[in-house]
Amino acid sequence: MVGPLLKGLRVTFGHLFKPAITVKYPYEKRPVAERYRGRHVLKLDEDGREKCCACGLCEAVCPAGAITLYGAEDPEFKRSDVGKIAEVYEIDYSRCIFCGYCVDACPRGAIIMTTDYELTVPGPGRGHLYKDKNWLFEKRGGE
Amino acid sequence: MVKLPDTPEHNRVKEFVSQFRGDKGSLIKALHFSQGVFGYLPPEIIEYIAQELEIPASHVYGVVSFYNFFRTEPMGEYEIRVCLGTACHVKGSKEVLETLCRKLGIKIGGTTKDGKFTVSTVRCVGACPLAPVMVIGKEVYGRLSPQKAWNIVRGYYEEERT
Amino acid sequence: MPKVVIDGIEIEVPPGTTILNAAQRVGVEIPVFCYHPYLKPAGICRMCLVEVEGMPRLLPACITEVQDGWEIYTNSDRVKDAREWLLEFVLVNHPLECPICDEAGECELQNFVFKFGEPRKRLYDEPFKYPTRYLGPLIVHQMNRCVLCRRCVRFSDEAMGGTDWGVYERGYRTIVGPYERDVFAQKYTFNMEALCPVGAITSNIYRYKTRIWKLDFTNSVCAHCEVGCWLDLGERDGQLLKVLHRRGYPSPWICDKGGYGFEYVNHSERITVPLRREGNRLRGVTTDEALEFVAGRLKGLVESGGKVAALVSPHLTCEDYLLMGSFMKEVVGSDYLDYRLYGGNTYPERPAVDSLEGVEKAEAYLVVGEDLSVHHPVLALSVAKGCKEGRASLYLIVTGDSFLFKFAAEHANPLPGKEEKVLEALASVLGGKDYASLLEGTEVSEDTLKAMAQGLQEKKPLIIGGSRLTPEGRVLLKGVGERLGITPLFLDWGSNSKGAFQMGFWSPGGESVEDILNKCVSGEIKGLFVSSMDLFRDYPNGTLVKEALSNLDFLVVHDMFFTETVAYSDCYLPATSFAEDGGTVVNMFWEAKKRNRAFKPKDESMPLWQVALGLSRKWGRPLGDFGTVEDVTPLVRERLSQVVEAPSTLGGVKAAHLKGDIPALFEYPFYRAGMRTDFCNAFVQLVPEPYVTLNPEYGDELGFKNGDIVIMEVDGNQFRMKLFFRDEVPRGGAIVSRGFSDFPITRALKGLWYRGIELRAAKE
Repeated sequence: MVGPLLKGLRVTFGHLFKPAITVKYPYEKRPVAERYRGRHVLKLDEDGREKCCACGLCEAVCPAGAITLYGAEDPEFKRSDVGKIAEVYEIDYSRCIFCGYCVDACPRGAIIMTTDYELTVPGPGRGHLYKDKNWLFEKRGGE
Repeated sequence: MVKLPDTPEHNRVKEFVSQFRGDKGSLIKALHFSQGVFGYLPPEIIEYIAQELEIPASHVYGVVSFYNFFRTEPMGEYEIRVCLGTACHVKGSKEVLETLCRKLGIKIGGTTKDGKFTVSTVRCVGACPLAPVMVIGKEVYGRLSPQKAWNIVRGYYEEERT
Repeated sequence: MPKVVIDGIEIEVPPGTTILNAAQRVGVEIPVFCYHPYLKPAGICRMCLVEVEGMPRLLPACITEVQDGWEIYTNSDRVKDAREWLLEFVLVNHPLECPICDEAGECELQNFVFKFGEPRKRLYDEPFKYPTRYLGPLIVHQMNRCVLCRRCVRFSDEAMGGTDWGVYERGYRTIVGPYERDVFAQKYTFNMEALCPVGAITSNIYRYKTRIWKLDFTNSVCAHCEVGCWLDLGERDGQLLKVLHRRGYPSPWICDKGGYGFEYVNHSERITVPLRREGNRLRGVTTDEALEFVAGRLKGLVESGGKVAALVSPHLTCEDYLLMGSFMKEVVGSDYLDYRLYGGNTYPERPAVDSLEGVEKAEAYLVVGEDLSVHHPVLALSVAKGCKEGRASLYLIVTGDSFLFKFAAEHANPLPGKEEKVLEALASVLGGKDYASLLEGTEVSEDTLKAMAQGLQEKKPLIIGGSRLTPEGRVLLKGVGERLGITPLFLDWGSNSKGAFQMGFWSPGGESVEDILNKCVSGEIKGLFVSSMDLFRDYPNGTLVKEALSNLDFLVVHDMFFTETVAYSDCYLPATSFAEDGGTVVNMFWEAKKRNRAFKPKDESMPLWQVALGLSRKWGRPLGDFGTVEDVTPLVRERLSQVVEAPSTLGGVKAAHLKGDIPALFEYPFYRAGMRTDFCNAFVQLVPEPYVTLNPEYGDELGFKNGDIVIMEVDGNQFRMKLFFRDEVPRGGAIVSRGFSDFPITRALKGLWYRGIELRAAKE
């Protein structure tokens, strides 16, 4: 009776003196693989203009139908070097399966995936997972 | 409705073009005559001819821009056409052209300030044995060198003086 | 019959068939750029080169006629090489901007490079760079992308008889475009955009909005005029973004109203909730409340002995007319119904021709009383096609025709209001009577009329009576027709007036709009239901409309926008656009066509038939149990199969104008005619405000200049507007534009489209 119990406790006590496998998330973070597919980012070019030209290939290739895209003209070439920008660019993260096809499809390298996997949102409902263009941009809110 | 002003030149054009009212086939004839009168085809003449022959002005302009010899800008008294065909090119017609442009102080297609010369280029005048060739008015000059070409052009000035 | 072998398939074709057409018969694909089935073959692009056994060179398939015994290869190595080279040459100067090009997805160059091209480019030279030209609010022209197929130029020459659109320069420097215009909008511009195989001409309205593969296309019928062109409505997320004309019916071409006049569907000012008047304000209510309120008020009015009338736009579907008619007649017990809100007291009649092909085949044409290119633009193209190359002769008795006059053999351009006088004179000439006195003051010469009469007697003409004709004018024209042995083709306002008539929405002998409005003024009619029409914009007597509407006890307006009519209303019900509900429409040849629903109605919007059904339910006497429009359609089909008898004459107002003034015709500009065009942003940009047009010579006589600002005075009402000179305006008359809901020009009219006006220069 006592034998198996001690055997089990030996494992327990043994682990007390080994280094921990878990990390103190969120204070500590695990390193992720270099090519980890996390949150999307829309890139800007050197002049701070949007790279996305709203060609709609990401939208077409997305297997989950998570991307919504409407274009608009930028006749003075202020926001884009080709005169066409995405007026609406939305990713529905409740649908996104992080397959990375959008990144592959993009002819201008305008959308990339970062290693950021922290996409929890406050509150119930999925509305918060619907991310618009401003959120997706590279230099958003102080980052 | 385009109304041409009442000058002798315009009246000559009016008189000539009115013979062909509604006749689309006479377009080249009308343009040729008008260019003979004015030396070039101003926009109001293009529109007038279009109206008289009952064709859209865009078509008339299409024909004018198609043929090299129709002009929409005023020309000099003499036109110097330097041949840039293969044979002339090999024989150095480019230098001839550049020299003429430099000495006359104009660009290709431009007209000198005194309205005497216009320099233009031409693909081939069919006188390849004489390369390099230039044509001034109706005279053809062959076997040129830059200096020779300039002498010929200067000759036109002197001819006028005498 | 020549026998040829195409890629191993033997086929016998009639003599004169081109290789391309023979290949199409056996289902062999030959790529083409410049060839188009409805344009004359030109043999410009060299994309269709094929190999013929025994011929030293490759032959262009689109212009080479087959000969007996030819063996044709469309897929041999030589042909493949030729195609590759051609595409490589085209791509030397073609920018690779497919990601931003609107044509991508339906681009023929893209498809051909995919299918027949080589994915390589050997010449890396700086391509030509031409500036992007924004040719007005309709089209954008990007010469960089042009492949010089000249379909647009050929369309403008062949179908429109030549416009300001041509080819300039030569060789590899060739460019295409307008010569003198910065704004290119010439009634049929849409076709040039649709014909362009690449993205050189693209729509400015659809520019960069979304990609073609994201649109769901639904078959529908155009709602602007009664030609009833088939459209494909491209919808995405409840927005109508693009219209195509893929099926080429009834004509391969459509007009700009059909192709670009859909913007009102997604207009931001659209009101999609019911409103109810409370004091000076209109407050939003639920549909249920609104219907309850309307039914209750109408019932109250009827019970207290008041009359109720309904005025409905002629642009709706038969289902709408049927149920609204049943509601008014059976439930409310009122006969005061009319759909002829453009004015006039005529009714649709059966024509002698039954299709546009029939129109094209005629030997001669007589057009009276309408600028066809404004109100029936595609019919005008068909007439023009018939007249091409002197095949048929065209006779016009039309004031200020803006498109067909250049095709006309004889053009009687009478002063405004005198069209029917000239018609009467024509009838007298044909009858061998004296006519000189009839022509007095019409500005039409006797010679014109004589030549016209002679021409009409020599060939069998097609007689087209325009929507401007009064009942007397129609009788006269029928008289002319009888003498020549032809039933005229009478045109009506609106896209479905034939259907409304057939549904019994107004029956001959019933009250006309004018009677109904007069009864509103006298107080006999206390309640009025107006659907889908701004009476102030379209009914040619704004003063009467104002008096009538302010005299009513109860006005319900069923519309999409806050128009001036809505401002008088006690209750507003949101209407659907033509894309949001299906139904049956009857075109000018009395053919019933089905309109399909492209997307679901926005918010609370309802089609008229649903409003009628809802009202009847609230009234306590439901019209039936209909769930969708398809449930109503069988009833409509049944009604359409019956023939409605009509009397031969109707009373009407005689055309007259005040003495000493300039007689003026109040006519819609092209981009303002049709349904709700003043809510199409592109059209508003094109024609932002009304203007007066005069003949240049007459304008000079009066001392005006082109582009002056003038004051137009009618009955003490003054309007400040711009003055333009146009050659097609008759000398001594003026044409004033109307159809502007924010500009009360209809106040000047008195039930007809003609008025005497005074013009004077505006003081700066």
